Amino acid sequence: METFVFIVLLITVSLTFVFVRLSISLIFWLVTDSKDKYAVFKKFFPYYIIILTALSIYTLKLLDFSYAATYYFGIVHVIALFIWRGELKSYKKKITDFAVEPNQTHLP
Amino acid sequence: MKNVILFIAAVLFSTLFYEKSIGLNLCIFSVLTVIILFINNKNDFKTKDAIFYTALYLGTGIAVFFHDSSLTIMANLVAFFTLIGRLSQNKTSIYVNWLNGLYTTIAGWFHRNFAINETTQSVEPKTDIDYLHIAKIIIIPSIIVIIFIGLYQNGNPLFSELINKIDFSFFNIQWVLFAGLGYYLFSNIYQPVIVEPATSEDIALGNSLLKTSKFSIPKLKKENQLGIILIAMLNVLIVIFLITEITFILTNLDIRASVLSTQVHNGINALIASIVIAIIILLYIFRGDLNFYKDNAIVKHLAFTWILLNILLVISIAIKNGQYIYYFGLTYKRIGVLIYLILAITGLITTLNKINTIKNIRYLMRCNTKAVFFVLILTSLVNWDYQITHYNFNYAKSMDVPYLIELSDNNTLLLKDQLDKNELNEEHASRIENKYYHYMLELENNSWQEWQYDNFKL
Repeated sequence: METFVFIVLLITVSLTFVFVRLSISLIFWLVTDSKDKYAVFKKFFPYYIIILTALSIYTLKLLDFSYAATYYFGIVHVIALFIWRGELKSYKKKITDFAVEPNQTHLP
Repeated sequence: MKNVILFIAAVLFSTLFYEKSIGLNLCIFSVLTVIILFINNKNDFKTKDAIFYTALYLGTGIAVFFHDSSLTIMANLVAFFTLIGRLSQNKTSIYVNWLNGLYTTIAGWFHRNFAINETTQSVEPKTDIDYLHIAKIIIIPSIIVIIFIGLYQNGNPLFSELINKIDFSFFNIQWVLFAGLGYYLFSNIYQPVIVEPATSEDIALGNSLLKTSKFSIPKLKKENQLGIILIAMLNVLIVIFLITEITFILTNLDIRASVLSTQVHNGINALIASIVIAIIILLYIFRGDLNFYKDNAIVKHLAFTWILLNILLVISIAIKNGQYIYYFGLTYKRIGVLIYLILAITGLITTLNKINTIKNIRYLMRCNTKAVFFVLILTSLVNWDYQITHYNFNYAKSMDVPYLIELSDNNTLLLKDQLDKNELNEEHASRIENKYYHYMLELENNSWQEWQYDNFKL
């Protein structure tokens, strides 16, 4: 029984991760200038997180704020924040990993 | 220092709200929030504006203690978002304050830690925390220590006895997690953040309407003619309607509930449509350059007349609603109608001012959302259940006792009082006694966090 619960939990969290990941990726795919991830973050993250929280609270209310549901949506929130953080960190790495040409001191 | 304050606030948060219903705790939470915000934003609290919104927030917190109703809790929440939004940027519209307040509450900490540095175009986490390492240094030693405790327990009976004596039953993981939620909430709000570009766009856009480059006198002349004919016809129509309306009010002797109810509800439905369409038509006619056309005096005066006639229509509906209340008692729906009428008059006056002082649509949005906010706060300060019961027992010509019994517990003590003074039928008396008994039981079982004003009347 415990193994079954563990497997169900694992599948639920994995599926949640996939859905949240897809929802965030969708924003970057739909935005034409998605190469500038800071701009996308600045423009869309506030609305994304507000809508996600509103949907979570609405569903929690429907489920009478049960502990299991509260933990689940807590995890959803943390996963979403970590994915956004990952997107920004990877971009930071990209823009700092460029080769810098040596200073051409012989040029005027 | 900051972390210590947040830690204390988190412990208090869990103490106040963990498995508790709303009462004194929300009032204390409001004070706690103001203290946390004040510690970190002292300069922002120097403005009269911030002090005013703080007073509104604390006022709703105190109102929750006096009469715990859904409306008051909602008003407290809206006042909370407004105050935080106002501290993040005090020059924006109230709806942008709500957006900033909401965003700060949900993800302020995350935004601050991954805020974009515009000058260097890089994300600058304040401290690059290695979460994996932290997890390793907590989890791995803990697991190894637990394994060794198990081994030593088998090796020495005295050590085993010592370990068995350790009692962790006082430790409540749910309580700790709830405190974690409190810590997250206070970390978010302690330094409010703004949503861009919504905030800067709102600041940049003023209230005044500007003349466009497409200004054309022949085109405007046609628009002016259309405006005059349309608004003049609407004025004639509303005058005829008002004459019939006033005749109805003065001559109506039929005070059957069903007749008045149909009249008020139909009136309200017509009024909603009429006012919304009136504002849309006026906004369309005065959307642009007609405001700057030199011969627009007639169309403007007709528009002002139409707005004033619409206000008369609102007053006539208010009189009918007043009659309805007088004969058949106060109810939430009838109070709702009065609130709608107040908002309708505000909408009409702001439209009049928009045309008179040549303002844009954003001005209307700003004024009317602010009006909705203040109406919400003011209505939340009133104990409606008590007022409805008091009015119906003392002034109304007739009333619906089961409706009063079904209201929240805020009127229970008054109902009991009225039961002692008036003679009610057995069924109603028994229901009131039952309600009173359950409320007394609830008050007696309230923990200090759940205390209400009625607790002090026991």
